[in-house]
Amino acid sequence: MDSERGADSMVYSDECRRRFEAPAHAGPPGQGDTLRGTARGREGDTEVVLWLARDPRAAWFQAHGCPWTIAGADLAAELWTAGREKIEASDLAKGLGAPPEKMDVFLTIEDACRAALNAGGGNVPDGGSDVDQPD
Amino acid sequence: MKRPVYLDYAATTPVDPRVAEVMAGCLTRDGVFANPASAHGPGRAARERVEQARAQVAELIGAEPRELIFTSGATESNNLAIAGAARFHARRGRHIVTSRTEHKAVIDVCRALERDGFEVTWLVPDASGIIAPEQVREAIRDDTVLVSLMLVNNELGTVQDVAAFGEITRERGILLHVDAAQAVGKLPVNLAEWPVDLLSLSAHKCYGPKGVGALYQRRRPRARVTPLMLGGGHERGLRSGTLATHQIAGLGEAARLLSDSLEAEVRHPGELRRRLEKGLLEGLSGAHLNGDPERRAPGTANLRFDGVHGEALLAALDPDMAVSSGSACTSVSAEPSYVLRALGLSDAEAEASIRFSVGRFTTAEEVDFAVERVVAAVTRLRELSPRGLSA
Repeated sequence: MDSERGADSMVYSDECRRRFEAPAHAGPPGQGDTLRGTARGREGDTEVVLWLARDPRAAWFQAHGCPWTIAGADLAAELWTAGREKIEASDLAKGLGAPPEKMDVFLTIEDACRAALNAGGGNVPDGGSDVDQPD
Repeated sequence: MKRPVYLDYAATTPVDPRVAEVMAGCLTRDGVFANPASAHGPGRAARERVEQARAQVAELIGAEPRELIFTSGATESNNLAIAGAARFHARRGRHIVTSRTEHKAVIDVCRALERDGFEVTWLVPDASGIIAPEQVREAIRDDTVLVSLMLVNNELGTVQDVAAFGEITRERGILLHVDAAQAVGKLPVNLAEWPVDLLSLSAHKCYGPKGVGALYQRRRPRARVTPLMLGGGHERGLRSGTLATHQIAGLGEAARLLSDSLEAEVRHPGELRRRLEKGLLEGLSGAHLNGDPERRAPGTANLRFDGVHGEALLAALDPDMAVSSGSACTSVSAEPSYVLRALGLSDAEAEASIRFSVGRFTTAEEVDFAVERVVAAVTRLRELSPRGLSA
């Protein structure tokens, strides 16, 4: 706890902090048809659930992980709601101004989106960040 | 109430203003600024100031002043004690006993010695963080030269029975080193009664400055170590380098203040820590205490909150509070605390753990504020989490 390792790990962008503190798309949703997708990070410390609705366009999330995970899931839900069909990790990282070493959490969110779209409720297995699934 | 509320006294303590005042008196031309190794009058004055500090520290821990070597802190003291003792006694044996839950400043030195051909037995504590004296007895071999175990664990606050360890090592003629960085000034330490041979301490853990500490080296029976830093023969040849009079005077004054009011230094954080624990354990379901509930330093509480990610909780508290997490997030992945993992906690449980530590300047108002903020943050994060619980 008192070593220097990790001392910079709690530096977040303003956008990350804003979404972490007040996410607009926190789930779960109420009644209605949604596509549900779940993904877990390779280390098991990150878990994201996304619910996507097409008509009307809407999205909700639940996330267990660091602030980047929560903020990224909120941004993914926002992009879907705005009409984006394909949510990619790089878009989330760019949108939040995240450092490259945080890409793992955004890949997990991308996997959750894919899982929702592919199966309409199917899950990506644990370690899903590495799973290469067809679009 | 000043924010952020500082509840990380186990990481470091603020310098007491009375200590800062003494230190300031050793820096400028009007003060005791000269080199303590100089023969002239100002040098002698600086030397007297250093020796005064040595006596003050010795009094706090029940030692003789000449048994103390000033260092740059507990990390250097641990290096000198462990590597120095191992090298001095290498012809007699090359086996060391320590534990999985020591500070990195002990673990990394032992690992380096392993690379140099020493064997190390790594004791594993029970689920509450305690190492039984029997474990030490069973680990000792004919070629064991050193046992190094901490008095108070830096993450849990768990207190080990070093006096019992010392009885065993003394019987076998083996040195016992104790890392007491988290103990001095927080618990009574009496080396006149404890059979401890080498003991590390640090000023910044007990209201002194960073960058100074000491190694206690018993004279009877003599605990011999080989110096690691050469060049000038300071500190009886065991730690060369010009003595930092202002730092040492600061450590001495911090020790004097602690000696004068040790009973209050133990009681005050103990009361506040119990208030904090009561508030959090009663205010939240799925909240647990890590470590031994009784054998603990008074001011430290390590708690875990089911269904919460530790980094997210720290971030949620960050603008208002300063506490420590049970994981050290590295560049790629969160790395759960090796101390909590050694107790048998899962990665998820270790990551969901937070260390709160209170001290001399903590108030009941700050503790109540912390309880309110933690309950609110845990509740919010659980609502956001697929693994969450209701509060």
